[in-house]
Amino acid sequence: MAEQAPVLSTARAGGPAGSYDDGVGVQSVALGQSLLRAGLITPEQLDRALERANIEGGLLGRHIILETGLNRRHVYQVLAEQWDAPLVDLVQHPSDDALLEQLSFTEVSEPGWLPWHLEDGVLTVATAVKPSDEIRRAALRIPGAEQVVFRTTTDWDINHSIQRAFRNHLLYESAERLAEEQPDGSARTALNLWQRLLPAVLLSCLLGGLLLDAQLTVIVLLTAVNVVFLVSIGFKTLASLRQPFDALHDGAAAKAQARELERRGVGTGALGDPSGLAGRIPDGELPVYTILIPVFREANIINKLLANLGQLDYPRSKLDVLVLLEEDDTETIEAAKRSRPPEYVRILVVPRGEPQTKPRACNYGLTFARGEYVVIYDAEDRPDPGQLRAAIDAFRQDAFERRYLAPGRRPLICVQAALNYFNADQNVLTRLFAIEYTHWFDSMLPGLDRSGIPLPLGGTSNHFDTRLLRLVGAWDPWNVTEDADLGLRAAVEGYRVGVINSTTWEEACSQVPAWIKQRTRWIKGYMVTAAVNTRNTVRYVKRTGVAGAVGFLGLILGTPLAFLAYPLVLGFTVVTYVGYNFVGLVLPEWLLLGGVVSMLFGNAMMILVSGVATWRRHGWRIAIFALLNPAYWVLHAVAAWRAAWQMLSSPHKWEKTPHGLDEEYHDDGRWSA
Amino acid sequence: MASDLQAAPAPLTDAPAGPAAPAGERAPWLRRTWTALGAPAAGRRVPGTAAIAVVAAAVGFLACLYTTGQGSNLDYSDAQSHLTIARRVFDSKAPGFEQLGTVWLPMPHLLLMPFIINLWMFSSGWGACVLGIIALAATASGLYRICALLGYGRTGRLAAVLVLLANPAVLYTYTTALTEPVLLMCLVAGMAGLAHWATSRRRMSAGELAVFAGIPSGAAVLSRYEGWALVLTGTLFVLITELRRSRQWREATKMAAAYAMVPAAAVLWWLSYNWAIYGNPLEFMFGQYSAYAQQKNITDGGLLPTKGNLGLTLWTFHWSLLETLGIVVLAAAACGALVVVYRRGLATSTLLVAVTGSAYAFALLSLYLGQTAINNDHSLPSTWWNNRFALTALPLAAVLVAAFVHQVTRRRRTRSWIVAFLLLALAGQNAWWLQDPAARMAILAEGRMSHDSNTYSFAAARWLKQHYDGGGILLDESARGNAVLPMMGIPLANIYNRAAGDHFGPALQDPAKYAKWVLVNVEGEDAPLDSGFTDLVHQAISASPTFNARYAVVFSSPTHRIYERTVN
Repeated sequence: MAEQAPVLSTARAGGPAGSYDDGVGVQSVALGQSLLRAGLITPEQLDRALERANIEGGLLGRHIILETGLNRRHVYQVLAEQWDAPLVDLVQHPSDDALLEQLSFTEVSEPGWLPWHLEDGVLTVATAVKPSDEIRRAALRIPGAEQVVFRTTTDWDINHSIQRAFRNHLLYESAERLAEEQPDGSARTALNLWQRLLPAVLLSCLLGGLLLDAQLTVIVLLTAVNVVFLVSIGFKTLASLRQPFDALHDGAAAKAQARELERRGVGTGALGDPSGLAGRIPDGELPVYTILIPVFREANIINKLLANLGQLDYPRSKLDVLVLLEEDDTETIEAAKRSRPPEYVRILVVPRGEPQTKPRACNYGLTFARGEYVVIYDAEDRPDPGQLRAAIDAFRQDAFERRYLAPGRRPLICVQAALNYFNADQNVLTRLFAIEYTHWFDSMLPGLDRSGIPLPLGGTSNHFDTRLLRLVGAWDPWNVTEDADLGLRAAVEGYRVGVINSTTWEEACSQVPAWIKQRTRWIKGYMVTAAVNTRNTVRYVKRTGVAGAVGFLGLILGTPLAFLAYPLVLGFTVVTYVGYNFVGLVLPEWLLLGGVVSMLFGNAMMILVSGVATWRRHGWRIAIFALLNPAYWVLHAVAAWRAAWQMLSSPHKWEKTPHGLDEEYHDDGRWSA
Repeated sequence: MASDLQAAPAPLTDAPAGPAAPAGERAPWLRRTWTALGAPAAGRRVPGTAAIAVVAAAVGFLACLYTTGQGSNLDYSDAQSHLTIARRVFDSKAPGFEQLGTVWLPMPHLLLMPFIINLWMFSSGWGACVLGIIALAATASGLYRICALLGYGRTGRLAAVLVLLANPAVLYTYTTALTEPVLLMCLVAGMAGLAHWATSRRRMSAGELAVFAGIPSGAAVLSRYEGWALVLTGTLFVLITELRRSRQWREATKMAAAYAMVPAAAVLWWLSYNWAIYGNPLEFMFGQYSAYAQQKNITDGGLLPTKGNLGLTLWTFHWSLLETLGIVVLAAAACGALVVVYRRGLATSTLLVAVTGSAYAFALLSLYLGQTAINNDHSLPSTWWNNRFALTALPLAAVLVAAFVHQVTRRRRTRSWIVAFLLLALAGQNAWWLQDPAARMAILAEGRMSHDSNTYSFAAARWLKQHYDGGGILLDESARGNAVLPMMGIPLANIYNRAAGDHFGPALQDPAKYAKWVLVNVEGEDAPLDSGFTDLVHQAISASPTFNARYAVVFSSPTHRIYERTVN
């Protein structure tokens, strides 16, 4: 079988895991033999690579490199001899950009070859795939080309050339396209005119009210903050309370299903899985999975991420790991190059440009993604080994259900895995952070999912259908919580976000100043997302329905407002006491009682629901810290007010969260177990 | 210098982690528990803690069954007062958190509140029993953890627990609503937190120190003033230990501040509370109901000879201590002190042991400065008063006993004999006590004396409980001998007393308008000088020319009288 795809880069998705001749191909075997003769690999290595190729599908060259760690240039040197096309180095001898500009990005990014030089009607094509008549015909369509000759190059050289030649195109794609095509859906303009004026109007009303009727104004203010607080708490509580009932329901449904299957004599092998999809998918049938790993100023990260991704239960030949580095982050780039990553890891250097944000890097990476599915991880992330398979199961289950059971249901664009912290017990802050995340991902998100409320995505471990992700415009690089924004945009565009029962263990920020900065960005992102989606409220409500409106009010808008209101809620007693004793402020009895009840009830509910969720996940030693939630919310309030200020002064400012603050934390094995 | 604790040899486990339970063993959990009791501490996990807590709770429950059956859990007037204060926060003519204070710190009452919502739990004292059981379990497990973290093996740890659980006076105290159970629980929890911090395998953060040691110490600060002493010594301990570890003043100051942060906030809150409610941040120190005001009467009457007299202070306090903990425990503790100093010098472990004695030191200082008074059968004057203050030395004594026992039982060959001897001595001590507990154990003697001196007021309370058929009750609960509201078992919202705030004055002026019943102490000015406040209700009705025309005496005793309104 001829190698029609790049030898080393694209495994044949879903390719047959058939016989030696069918699955691997004569040419590939010749490649193996050549490498063997050259003494670059051993017979054992070749056998193992052949076995892998037969099981997982894909191309032998890729398996040889994965198996042996052989330099790709050696392999291509052998291929060059086979193809009778000498090897060229596109870094030392770059391609003619004028030639490339005559092609579109998609014309050169997919096939694995590109026009190198055109001289006197002779077009030299540099290819990483076997020269073929098809390529020759395509190349001859380039103006001025009368004859085609081939040179061999590596897929890495091709990528490098494309990045260089299409720099501007890629920059536009990753930073500007969404904002240009959907100005109202992008946060490039964070606040429009009325949104910029709103804080000033509210402040003026407050000051005017205090001058005209201070007592009434204070009553209105305190009532408003308490209502906002209670609405937010109520939303979080109700979303959380669904979870146990849903779990009971699911358990009962699974039992009923099992009984029915048994009655029909189907057996229990496919318990709870009418589609028969829950069985383990053979490696050869797995699609290519792209993993985006944006890294900024985190030198020596490659080894860590390899160790973490090495735990994934997924064939390496089907992994397409893209490490996204920023052009001006030379230290990390150098470190990454020095680390000599394996073949399935590609290092992409994102060109310098504004805004220098994670979503811009992800958009850049997405243009190079080869996978049917794509997921974002941080370099420190430790995903559950079966997470990629769980995501694929969820997508396949959704496709099955939409086909046979619920044709009208929105397609699944993304599944979110739970995030939690491996350093939960490092210090008090990490414990509280773990409690918050556990409550959010274990309790609230499943509740929101079952209620049909659009889910704001978490920062990592969101698994997308790559095609649909591109359709909705991918991430907004101007939004500092591009994840939350994308979750809502997906809902507006008619897609659904689900959750999967799999966890990614992350590093919790363990220092208060860094935490405040991180949280400032998150809350500011919610504010920006709220601003973006209130520009066209009718469209939003129309497309997402009541559930979308409730979720938006309770979560996207309610969360920042609740945090802003929290100081007044918590300090209610002090405010009323000081007001009574020093200003002569007399508040109505209902407000006094309501304020205290709001403060006590609200905090108690948060302690309860987050404590219970954490108890189940981490045990009581972490859960007991939920009692400190009221103090933790004070930090939220500080971050919220910083975020409010930054909304006005620097809405696109991205305060990076430092990683590796867990050095003093000695993992006792519990979290890595 | 690295912490000596971290460099300390592995603790003796007394018995190797035993093999798997043999097949057919009747109670494999018992073997597992026994093994756990000797296992070394691993971070926050100290094996055996839960077992100790369960056993202590069971012992506490049995003690409660005994004392409530006898009714002796309400013998102390203060115990009844504490129950009343806790309940009147939500059941009173003027309910609210303003009912807390002034002389007594609020933590015991706040913790007591949920357990006395039920009127029977309040009047029987079982509410306090439940809290006492929890406090006993926490104190026992806290002492156990301190000893485990100090590296003592099973026998040492269990010896510390026995100091607590094998002492009838201690057990009695934990069945009452006195503040000692809560104080000891918080003190020991704070000390255990400090021990955890000092012995942690990994460097604990400032926040963790604040949570594990600062919060319980803050609770101790709001329980009794001995807690304030713990914070002072604890802060010093953190400062020295961190300085030894890191050799950085900045780091040491940061950790010390982290520890002291919560207790300091508690102190600040208490001052603010006094300021907000009484208009004086130092009301608890110098106000009408403060210890100072009470001590002043005693001092003026020449009944405080310990003030400024070190010898008499030591003599008085230690007789109370001896008559509370017993000679066996004190002797073992004294030996333990020698062992600790001899073996470890001024190492961090020695400092940690010293911290457990902070409340004891505070109690001595307080007695010497005349801030408190203690009387026993060897003091001047000779009576029973505040002997439970000696319990402040209990944590120190327990840890020192553990150190001694740990040391003398290191040799496997002689261990069984020594353990048997010590247990025999302890049993002998208890047997001697139990021959005449109310005479040989200071705390029980004081309880009995209180019971005897309140015979008439208790009788009045019981009479009113039986005959009450509704209507308001006017009494000055704060006056001498009148702390009987729990025993009365009547919802406090029916009662006009000083705690009723604005309702008390009009009721004093015109009792018939508000109260169907009037209970008074009729001792008047003839009562002993140091026995409490004058009964304002008695004063008022004595001055009222029409009172006798509207009320009839329905109960009378040499000290107390109950009137019932006859004319509407």
